[in-house]
Amino acid sequence: MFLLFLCFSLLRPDVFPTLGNLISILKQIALLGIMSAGLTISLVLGDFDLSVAAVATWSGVMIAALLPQMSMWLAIPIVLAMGVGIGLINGFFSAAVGISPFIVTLATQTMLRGLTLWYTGGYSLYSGIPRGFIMVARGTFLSIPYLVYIMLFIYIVVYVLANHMAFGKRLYAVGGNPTAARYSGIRVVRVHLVAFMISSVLAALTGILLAARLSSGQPRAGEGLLLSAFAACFLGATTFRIGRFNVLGTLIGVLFIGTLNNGLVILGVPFYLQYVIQGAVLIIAIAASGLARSSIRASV
Amino acid sequence: MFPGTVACEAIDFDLRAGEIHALVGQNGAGKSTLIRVLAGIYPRDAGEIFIEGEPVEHLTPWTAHDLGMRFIHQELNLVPQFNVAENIVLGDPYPFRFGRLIDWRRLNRHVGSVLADLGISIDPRRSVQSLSVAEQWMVAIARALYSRGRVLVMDEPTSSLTREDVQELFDLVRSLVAKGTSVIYISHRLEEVFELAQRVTVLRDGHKVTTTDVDSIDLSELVRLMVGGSPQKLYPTIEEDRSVGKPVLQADELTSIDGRLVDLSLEVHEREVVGLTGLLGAGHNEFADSLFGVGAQFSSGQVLLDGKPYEPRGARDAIGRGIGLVPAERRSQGLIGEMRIWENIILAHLRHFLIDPITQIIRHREANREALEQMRSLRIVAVGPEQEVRYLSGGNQQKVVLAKWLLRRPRLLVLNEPTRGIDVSAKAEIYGLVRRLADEGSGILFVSTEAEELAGVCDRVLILRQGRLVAEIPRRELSAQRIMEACYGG
Amino acid sequence: MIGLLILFAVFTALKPTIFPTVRNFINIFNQISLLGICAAGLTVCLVMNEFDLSIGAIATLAAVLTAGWLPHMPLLAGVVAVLVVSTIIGLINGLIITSLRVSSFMTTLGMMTVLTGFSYWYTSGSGAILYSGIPEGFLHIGKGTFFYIPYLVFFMIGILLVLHIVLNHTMTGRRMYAVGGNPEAARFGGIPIARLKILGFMISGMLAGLTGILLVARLGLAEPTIGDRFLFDSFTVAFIGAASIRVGRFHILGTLIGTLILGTILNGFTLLDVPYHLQLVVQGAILIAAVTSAGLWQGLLQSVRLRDVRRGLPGGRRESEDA
Repeated sequence: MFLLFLCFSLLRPDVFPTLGNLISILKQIALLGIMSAGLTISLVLGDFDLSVAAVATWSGVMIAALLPQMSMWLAIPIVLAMGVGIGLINGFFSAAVGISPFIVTLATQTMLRGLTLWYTGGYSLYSGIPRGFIMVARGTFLSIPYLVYIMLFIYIVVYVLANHMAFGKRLYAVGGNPTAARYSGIRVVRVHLVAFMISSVLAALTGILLAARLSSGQPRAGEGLLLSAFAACFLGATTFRIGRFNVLGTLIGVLFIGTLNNGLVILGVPFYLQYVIQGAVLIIAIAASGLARSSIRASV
Repeated sequence: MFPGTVACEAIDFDLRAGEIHALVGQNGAGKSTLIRVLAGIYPRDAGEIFIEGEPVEHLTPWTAHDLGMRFIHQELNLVPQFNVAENIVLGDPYPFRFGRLIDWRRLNRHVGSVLADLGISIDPRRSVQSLSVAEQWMVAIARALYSRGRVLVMDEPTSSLTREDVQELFDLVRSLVAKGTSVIYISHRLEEVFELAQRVTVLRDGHKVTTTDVDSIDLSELVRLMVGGSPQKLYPTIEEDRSVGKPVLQADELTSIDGRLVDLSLEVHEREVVGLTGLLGAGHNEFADSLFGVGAQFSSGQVLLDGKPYEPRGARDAIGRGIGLVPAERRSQGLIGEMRIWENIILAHLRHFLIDPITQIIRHREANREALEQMRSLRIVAVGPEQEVRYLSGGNQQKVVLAKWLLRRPRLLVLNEPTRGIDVSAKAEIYGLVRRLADEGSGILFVSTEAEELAGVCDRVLILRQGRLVAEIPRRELSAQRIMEACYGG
Repeated sequence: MIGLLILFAVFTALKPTIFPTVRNFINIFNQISLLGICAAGLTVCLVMNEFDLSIGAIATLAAVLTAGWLPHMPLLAGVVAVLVVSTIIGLINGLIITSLRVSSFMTTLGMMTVLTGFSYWYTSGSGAILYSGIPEGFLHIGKGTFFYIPYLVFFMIGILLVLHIVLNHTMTGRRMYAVGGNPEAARFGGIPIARLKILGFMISGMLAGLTGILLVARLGLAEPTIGDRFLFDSFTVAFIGAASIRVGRFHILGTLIGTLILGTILNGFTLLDVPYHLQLVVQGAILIAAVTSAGLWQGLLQSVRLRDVRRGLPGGRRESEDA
């Protein structure tokens, strides 16, 4: 990860390693970061939550729709509650009924996309959004955007959740060996449910903040984030606790992706080439960690 | 047949044609590693392997196969979706028709005749998931022998088999040897070594201690060689007239939904170790799971815990009522491999390690302290409470499982095959722990199929057959022999 | 299977004049023929527990390359070239995944990104549509019919048939199932796991490429997002398939059924003039319903079976010791 940093610094010493640019990176990935944090929790259990992007999009649209009609402090919890509800649905069908989470979230995601399209008719909603709301996304404190603070806060919370709270232990237990977890008195189904709720609620939060940043509810807003979020989580699984999803690792993964994108943009790389490089770098990163892992295994 | 000096262990080992050579040693002694190297699964770092006088260079699973080595590892390694026939020919060519298409009929017939030769009567078209464990073992053996091999290596084949299955297995092995195969036999069950093998090699801590004829050694000597110190007493002494307390568990005419248990009534008192056994499938293992709430439910009957009604609804309830279960499958049911020792230990009782119920943050230090305490009193050998349990040996892993339940003294501790696959000294320690726990006031239900240990550890033993209670053997009549007889209907 | 029948019933009831006609059925087949090919390739990978996320991108790239190259070279050469490229991509996927022991999810994810980039690059970064210079004969393949059944449908059926035979009746196929069923057992049994997985990825790559090629044949044009929906749809269809025949196992036949289900749904939607967004919603709901009902059905069967089992514990791995 540091290599990347260095590399870009060398290439454009005038622009890249400036404080302003670093802050810019953080700002760009703040939202991705929040979504990825939630996704990490699901991934610990092996539940691939494909619906996070759709949840974000839907939440963005919803908040844009509700804000003109009610106070921000009412609208936000409502949208978050919807997120929780979606997570509940995901969890119910995958853990209680027993369908593969891949399918369940695929279906949920499709349905949400449909709902979003239906509600917006394809247009963005942008009227009647209060200034205060937008300021959350655009404002800064000590020249660091609020968004970054929010992201860091979320990460701290999720980190504590996963590593220092009882739930976290249960989470990793179910992720590591669901049968043994059950035999130890852990309610496996409940853990899945909560995990899905977490990933959905954080996705909803992402959507809300996204709407704030764009100052409108866009019916296609969240789509690009899905792949990047997964990428960040998987990259994270190659750091710290190798082979396992972990919160800190995801943070690093998010930073990595952000740095990469930022660097490519600064270098003026045309966007299609960006794709190529992003993908290639991802593969190389995975390959490197795979090599590292097998060499560790060999020496054990 | 081939002397070999192997890997980081510098072991000399040779197998003569037509002999059954036993390989014994404690956990961590190096038996499975040696076998894996011979199978080509692990690479060897130094030394040579000769087969029939010819040196072997690069050993991979398929070259080993080509050279006539056949392995039956501890993990059965059957493909669950396949039927018997496909599992038997796994890795070998199928019979063909029209070029590359598989001729199913010929396959089934071929496999059928092979099975018949071996005296196994399982329909090759059955799915392996529908077989009992013993039958699955038969399939694994059939697979190893499908293409005539010269060397057969069997790693702990009898852990899940009943006495009669074991005899069948022995007959099979002897007939194979008569036809020219040589056998390497690994087992923890030392009495089998004496019954079956001609020579035995003892490994300890990665080194070979000795290779000797089975006839020139006896059991205690063998144990001594394996353990390396003065012979330990395996079973703790139990005073003759112990008094037991009031009943902890009272089960009344329990019948389970899947028919495994029928009208079962039993009692376990405080300070008592009650053994529960039977032939494979008699229902004793199932009872343990059902009682804890993770097995089949009871369709009728009643259970009282400390006099109050109890309905097994799930592990959480059971734990809440003070029941602990040390499950039969340590790795898949008892522990979270990737998690650390302390995490595994507190897993069943997370509630008690929280700073406050609202935030639910774990008291890391206290958990660690408790874990250390348990490690000390149970003599768990590990780097520290932060070590991940998957790196521990079987015996130590089982102790961690025990520690999990000992954390808060359970009213009733149910142990399901607790010493399976564990070396001698760990076994002794576990027996001692069980008795100690009983002395401190808990009731213990000791479910096992090893008659010797039941005779050595329990106050009385209950025998089940096909789900029903058929006998109870009190302390003064207790012996392995008596238990066996009762299981079979004496 | 039942789901399919239900669907039939529902749609027939709703549009009795149009739905259950032969022509409509042919229509359904036609629409999903390409999806079927793509999904079949994916199924091979899924059998071995590997996820190939790059199939959409491979299809797109193949389509783009086809549209770009065909005007400049003989038909056969162009098609073969694109197929080779697709297969090589699969080969690369397979090599990375097997030799470095990395997650297939991630690798193919990365590959997908890379390939998408390439597709855009080739179309001069502007997402332009390529449509000129595509030879007539080629287009005819995409749209022509034989006894009223489009060539494409024959392709799909042919490929599905071949894959079905390979997976179920050849050693290679059975070994692939073994790898998916119990990789440890496969390894101990001397099965060359790596080789099989690489083969699997090559197959899925090749078929994804074929899908792209035929897309151009049918539509007469190519643009850089043309193959994208095949990714989600293929997985959907394969999973529905896995839920239908033998729960949890991927199966060519199952994939076929899944494809038919999806095709029927889409067809029904078109006939009923259902607006796009609603389609999405219903699609998702049906997916869940189908899989749920399949799961419940199997669960019922399981519990009945359990009661019949007299002796014998459910098979499983024994306690293994380490040494």
